[in-house]
Amino acid sequence: MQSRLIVKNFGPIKFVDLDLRNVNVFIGPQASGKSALAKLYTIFKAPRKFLKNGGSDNRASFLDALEEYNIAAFLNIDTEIIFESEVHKLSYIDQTINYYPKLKHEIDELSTKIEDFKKADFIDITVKNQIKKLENYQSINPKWHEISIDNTHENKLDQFLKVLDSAIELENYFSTQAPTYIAAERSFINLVKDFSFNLLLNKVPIPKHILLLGAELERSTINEIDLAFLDTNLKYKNINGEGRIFVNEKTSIKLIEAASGIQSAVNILIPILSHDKTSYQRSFVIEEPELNLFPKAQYTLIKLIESLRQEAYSYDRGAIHTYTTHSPYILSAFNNLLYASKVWNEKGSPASAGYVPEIENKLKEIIPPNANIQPNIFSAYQISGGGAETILNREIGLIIDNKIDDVSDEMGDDFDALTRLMI
Amino acid sequence: MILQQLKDKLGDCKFADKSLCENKSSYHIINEKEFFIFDAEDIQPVRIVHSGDYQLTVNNSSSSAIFLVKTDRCLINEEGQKKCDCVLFNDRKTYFVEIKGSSTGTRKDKRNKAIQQLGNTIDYFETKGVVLNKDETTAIICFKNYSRIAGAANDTKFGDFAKKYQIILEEKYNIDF
Repeated sequence: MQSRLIVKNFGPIKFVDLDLRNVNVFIGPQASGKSALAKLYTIFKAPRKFLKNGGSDNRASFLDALEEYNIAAFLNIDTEIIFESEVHKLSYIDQTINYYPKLKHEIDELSTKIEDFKKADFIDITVKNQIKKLENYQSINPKWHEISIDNTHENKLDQFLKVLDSAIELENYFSTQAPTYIAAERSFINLVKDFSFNLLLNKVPIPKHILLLGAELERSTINEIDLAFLDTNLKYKNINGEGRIFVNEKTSIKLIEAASGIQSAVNILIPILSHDKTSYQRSFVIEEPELNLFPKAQYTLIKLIESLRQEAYSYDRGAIHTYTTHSPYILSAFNNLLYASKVWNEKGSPASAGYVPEIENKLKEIIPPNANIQPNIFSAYQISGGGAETILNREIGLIIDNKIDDVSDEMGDDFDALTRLMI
Repeated sequence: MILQQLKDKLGDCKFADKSLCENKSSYHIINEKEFFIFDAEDIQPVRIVHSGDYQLTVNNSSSSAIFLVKTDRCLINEEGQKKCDCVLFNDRKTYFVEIKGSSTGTRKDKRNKAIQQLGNTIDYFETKGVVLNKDETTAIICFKNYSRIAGAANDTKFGDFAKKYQIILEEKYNIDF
């Protein structure tokens, strides 16, 4: 689902205008505002999760939400934030929250037609037009809107009410379901969960977004994760509520005792795999997936996470992933997945004009087809100096010059300079 | 074979009158198992060396006949678009090589320039009617101190080059025949 986030004068951000898709990547130096943007996206995507009075003049609730994500201090007197998706438009301008639930208004409009519909043995043209308008909302499954002309009036009415109920349900879902924020501090959760009562007793101020992730991990019903991408035979198992890492069939250690990279990866995979078992569309914000991982594992982790993601076209399926990263390996991993989709579209897919069966097979060995990322659902931004610039060339569908890759060359330049000193 | 095509269509050294090269021809044949290419990055073309300073190592384990064609500042004398330094080939493989060694400037700028030079040379050959077996041809950017750290932007440039010329582009300091 496409959305737009505009932010002015918020912490290190002076002005950004982001076109966000189903897979989004933010890169940039530390303290450039990547995480602040990812957190604003998390808050603004689900307004009714924090707005309490129907959305008008709800500044206090907004401040609480910023506080939950540890970014309240970034708010300035002239801060402006605008988020717009097909579900709603939410803005914070002149220190005032304005909420326009676009989709809800369309649904409300349709609701007013129920009585008309009951009275007449036909589908009124205005009703049809209103349903047609809903069909423009990509997130609504189009099959809901097929009210058959041939049906009896009762059946048509029944179908109409179903359309309405489903629309109400999904609009409410989208407006209240915030992305799962998988913070960089995710391994910390393993460390403190055995001492939660002491932490509560001593009122240790743990940011709420970390508690939310902790709660999600605690609720998870994932019993086993194959971690072969980290090391052969490595498995995570939930044994009677305790997370354990098995190095073989018999030998295991507590998750908290495992290497930091394993803990970090497991706490990304548990929420994502939990969603895999449900049918609703979900969003995940994943901070620094590279944490504590060897470069090869960073690559395989991204391939795994993206192969688990179904495309988020409609409300009832798919996921939206937003990443922040400092890692050249993570960025290269995304570029490979983008390139794989190009190869697939041009030569690997049996439906492509230049299809070659051998290429299809070889491509599958390199990148599993379900991990491919189509450029049209991808966005990548470099956040620095208070601004943001895209690092995706939409025309070629690949990542272009950026500050992470520049560092590799700068290191090479220094090596060259040192060599010149030696000769 | 590419050698005869080059001789027929491009002739030989265009700077023979002022050349300081030992061998005034643009074409060299080498049979050694290992040799090196040095580019002084001055007005002279690349030269074959066996010791001292060099940027590119050529491994020729079968001691087959390797042809070196000095392109820039030798075979090609065209105003405007800069060409790559040399082309190395045997009866199977062909390498277009641009050396970016000791001159100052950033690697990023040098790489971008090298990509242009390699592309310009391939275009030039094709314009002149030289037919390349692209499946067995590789374009090489040679940095004296090669260090490959993952770089998405560079991968994109290499992918773009491959799509445009149907020739693989690599960054390395040694080539194998």
